[in-house]
Amino acid sequence: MAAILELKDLCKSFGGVHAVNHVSFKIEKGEILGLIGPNGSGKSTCVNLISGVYKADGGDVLFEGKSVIRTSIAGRSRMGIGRTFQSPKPFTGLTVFDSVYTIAMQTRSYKEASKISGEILEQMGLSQYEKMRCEKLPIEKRKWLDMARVLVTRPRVLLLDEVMAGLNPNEIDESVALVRRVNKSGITVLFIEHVMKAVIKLCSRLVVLNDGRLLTSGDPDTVMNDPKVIAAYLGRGYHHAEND
Amino acid sequence: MLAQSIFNGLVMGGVYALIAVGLTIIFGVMKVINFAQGECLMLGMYAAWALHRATGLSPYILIVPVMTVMFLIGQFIFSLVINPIVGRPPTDFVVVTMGLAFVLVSVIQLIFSPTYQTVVTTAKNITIRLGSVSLGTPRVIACGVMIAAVLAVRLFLKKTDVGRAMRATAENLEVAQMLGVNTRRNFALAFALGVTMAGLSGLLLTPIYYVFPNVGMPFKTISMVIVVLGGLGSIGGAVLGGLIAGVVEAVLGAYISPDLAPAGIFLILILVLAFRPEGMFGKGARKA
Repeated sequence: MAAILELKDLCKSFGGVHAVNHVSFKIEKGEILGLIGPNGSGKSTCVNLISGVYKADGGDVLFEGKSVIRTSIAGRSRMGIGRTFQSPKPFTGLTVFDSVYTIAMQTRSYKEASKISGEILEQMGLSQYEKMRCEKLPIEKRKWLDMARVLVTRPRVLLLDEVMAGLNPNEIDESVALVRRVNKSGITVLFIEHVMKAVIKLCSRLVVLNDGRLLTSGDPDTVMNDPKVIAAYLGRGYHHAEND
Repeated sequence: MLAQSIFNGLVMGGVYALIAVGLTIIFGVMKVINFAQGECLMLGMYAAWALHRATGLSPYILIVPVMTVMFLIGQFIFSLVINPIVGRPPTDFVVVTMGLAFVLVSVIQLIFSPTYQTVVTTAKNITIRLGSVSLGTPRVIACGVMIAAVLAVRLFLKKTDVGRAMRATAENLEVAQMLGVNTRRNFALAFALGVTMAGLSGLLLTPIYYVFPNVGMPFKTISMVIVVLGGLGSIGGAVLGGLIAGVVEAVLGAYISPDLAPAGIFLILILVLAFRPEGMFGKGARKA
């Protein structure tokens, strides 16, 4: 399969801290790739480098084989790189419908934008909140609003940054089904998550970061049983807990 | 006399509010202060004066043409001067807009000379009586137009697709960019709209003030005070701030000395900021 997104020797430092230190990996077209690692390992920095929020100190980001390292945030969005945020960032002054519709309107006619906004909000289970101002939307729903907004931009790669944090087991199951549906619709997913149950259910491959460096990568079974990953991230109790 | 002063202040405050609303729109979306806002008001006065001279029509009939001219000037200034510095540190914007202010004054001086010009309207000679209070018609018209303009701007921002996109840009620029919103176009629109509001204020002032190249300077200072007083980025705050500034100026002018009026406005600003550093309706610093 061809790589839709590739990080090549990517580096980013904040002062003396090497948040991302010569990291390279590829995301194949159509897959759900899990990006995991302990807090501070550089996962969100990678997302910010891919989406253009941060400028890389070195290395390259290739989208469909072309470098996007000098492309603006908006340019990357137009090319098809979409993302959600670890802490949701709704447009608090707009209603739920308007915040999706306003994004949809950027590339569609009024009728089409209105239709697609309604459909996506329904998919996200947000139809009943359409007229609510985003600032009043329950916290857990804001992540799905983030997702709805990015889906109307017709992304080809979706960077999901800890969308399942804080959800209860039922909500996690629903969210797993939702991410799978999104992926089945043809959208490649980079899935950054600490909820291992969801990671195992969804991802075909995993990339593990630690201290800003690539620790290992491979299929979920191999990675989860890798002693380096257990020592750096999962902890010895993880497998015992899984077996209990 | 107090009622007369308050009414005088309210109608003049309406004009201040309109200038401040223009400044607020620019700040709200772009998060920068236009230090040439007073000079944009001056351009509006000259546009009204020139069109009045050419056509003989009352400046009030020229509202739409002057607003159109000012919008186009705003777009032109944005493309030529502002667009190249978008994304650069705010200090660049301060220096560039201050420079722009000097250039605009100099260009107008070169074209029209520093001579004071006047716009004569029949409205100037009509006084409106409300019981014991009498008000000059141009000031009442200015206040009425301010109310209509502010309502129109609010309606535009709340009910139109472009307005909603501008609000999304204003709220979180980075997120709006990541979602494909054309933030550059929204900046251009906000800037042109802010310049148009300043120009409209200028037109409304032509029957009241002389038209000369440096006429915008005091209005610029006062509108900046009003914007901070009302809360940066708040249209409602700018309106209330404008009305308060107008009333304070009129009452102090009538009872103590017109020279003390600006000091009174600054005193109110200090008092408000002591208790609400974000201004009356400000939301404080937004987090990304």
